[in-house]
Amino acid sequence: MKYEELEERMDQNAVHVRYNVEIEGPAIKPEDDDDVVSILPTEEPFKSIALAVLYEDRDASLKNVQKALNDGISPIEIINNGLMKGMDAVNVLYTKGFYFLPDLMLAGDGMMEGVKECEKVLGHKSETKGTAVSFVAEGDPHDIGKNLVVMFLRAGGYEAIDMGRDVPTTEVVKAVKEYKPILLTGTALMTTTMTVFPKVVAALQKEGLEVPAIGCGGGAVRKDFVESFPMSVYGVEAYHAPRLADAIVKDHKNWKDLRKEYSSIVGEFVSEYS
Amino acid sequence: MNIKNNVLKVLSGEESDITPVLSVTQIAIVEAMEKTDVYWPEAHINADMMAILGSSLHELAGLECARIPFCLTVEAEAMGCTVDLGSIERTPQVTETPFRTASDIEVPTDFLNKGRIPVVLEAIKRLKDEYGDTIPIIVGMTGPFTLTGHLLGVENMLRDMKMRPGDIENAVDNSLDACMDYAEAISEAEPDIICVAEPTAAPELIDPLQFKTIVKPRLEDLANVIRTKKILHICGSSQPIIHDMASIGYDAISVEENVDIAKAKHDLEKGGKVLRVGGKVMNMGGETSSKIVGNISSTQTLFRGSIEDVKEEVKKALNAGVDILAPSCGLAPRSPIANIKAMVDARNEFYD
Repeated sequence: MKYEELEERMDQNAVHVRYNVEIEGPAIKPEDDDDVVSILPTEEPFKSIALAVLYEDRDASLKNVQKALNDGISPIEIINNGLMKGMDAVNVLYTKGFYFLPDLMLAGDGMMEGVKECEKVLGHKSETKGTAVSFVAEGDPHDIGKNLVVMFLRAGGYEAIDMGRDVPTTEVVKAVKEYKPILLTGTALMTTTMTVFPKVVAALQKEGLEVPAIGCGGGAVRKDFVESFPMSVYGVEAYHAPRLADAIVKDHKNWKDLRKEYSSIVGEFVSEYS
Repeated sequence: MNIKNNVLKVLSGEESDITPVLSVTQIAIVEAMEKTDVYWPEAHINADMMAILGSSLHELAGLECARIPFCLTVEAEAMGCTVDLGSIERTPQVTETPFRTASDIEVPTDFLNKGRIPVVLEAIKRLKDEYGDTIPIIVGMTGPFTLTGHLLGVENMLRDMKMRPGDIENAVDNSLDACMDYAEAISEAEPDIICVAEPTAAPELIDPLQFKTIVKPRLEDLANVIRTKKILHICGSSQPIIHDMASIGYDAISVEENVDIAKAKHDLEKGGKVLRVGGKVMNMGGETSSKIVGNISSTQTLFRGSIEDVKEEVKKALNAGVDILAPSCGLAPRSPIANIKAMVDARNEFYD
């Protein structure tokens, strides 16, 4: 048998390759990834603030932010140039398949810890870029996705109203009336519950209510399904939410534009939209 | 052709003339409820109703199985969680759990008499009386990792996977005790197939490496106590863990539409018998034992697609070499019977 033939028949996953540190260098740290390098800030204190988020270290994140605030650094800068950059780096590693959902959640905890600290100093709620409302479909108790969306929206400077899980359609309509959100997000994990989304849209239309866009996403939800009813946009990743919101607020995009320009709005290649 | 023998033949790795078409996941749909006059949520708690609804798509659409129960909360409820049984188109869900930490998890002494476990066991008997020799009876159960997610809350569990993996391993071990008891009890009732569903272990939720180190060994232990044919179902883009899934010892693995069947089959064939000599690993050819079940999209095609869409996708899956045709995941309750029938018809046309 020729070697090539053998190689084709071999299970490459079962081949143990010895790692030669001398030749290949030490293991790559998360901050050494090329794409991460281009995102992370280089100057202190932002660098260590971002790194704490990247390392999913909640305590270090809090300590770094407190120290920076004591040194008189503007909380807005800490959020935008430190915490958010760290989270962007986490998102990159997640998209590349080096980080996984638990990493996203833990890094998010670290980031939000810092954001809360900054908000204490800012003492604001009034300067938010806009209000978004997030719910989990009626009958669906799975709220990890929604929690991530809320976290990213809040970190992105939006007031995110968290309606919790298993939210009846009537409650969603009530919330839209009350808050007039720029973005409504609905998530569902299961095939059995995602059918709520078109019902929400129909209920809103019946009341004559309009939202610039309703971002729908989650486990079983697919793009074709979401695009089968109006007012909706299929959200691929939770961290896309604030970018979609930015497009709505700054460039006055609506759901039709978002569907068309999704990839360019979120600023990365999205296979679902290619 | 005896439908049941055909399915069992495929699962035993024997040659079969025709690919079976069945469902290893949730099977009840509203249209069938109306036709049989058996509805959710009553069918979750009544053995007769469960048996009727579980075999409804065999009667109405020609699907080659009966499959019960209709949710993944039976074990969690018997462990002590509060479950909301939902409505006609809403599956039961865990609403409250008495467990806070891994060490809290303990199997109640009369676990097998609690909650809806007796209902499921009774329903198996009813189905056996009715269909024992004709179609395979498939019983679904929750895997130990997913059960732990129900007991501790998935979000807490995922955080602790990174922060306190040791605790989670203990928790999964405790859940495994419950799963093994339940699997033995089901085996005693002698259905044809047990399908272990482990959706929480999908790569969307956990690191594939943790699947290998934490989930896989427990699934292996569970497989060892199942005395019927066994199938492992994991939703999501399970391509990265397909090797691990297929080498646990289940007769078949069930995957969803995100998995490229042709590629999966090619990969698995390469991962056949392995010879270890002096630290070297060599492939000796041959197939892995796990067959592939799937993967007609239950969200896109079966729920919303036209009959043509279904037929198209069935053809694609058969051409890709799927061993057993099935929906990719639990059926959406509003899926039309016509689409399920189209799945069966398309399979028949393929072999005409």
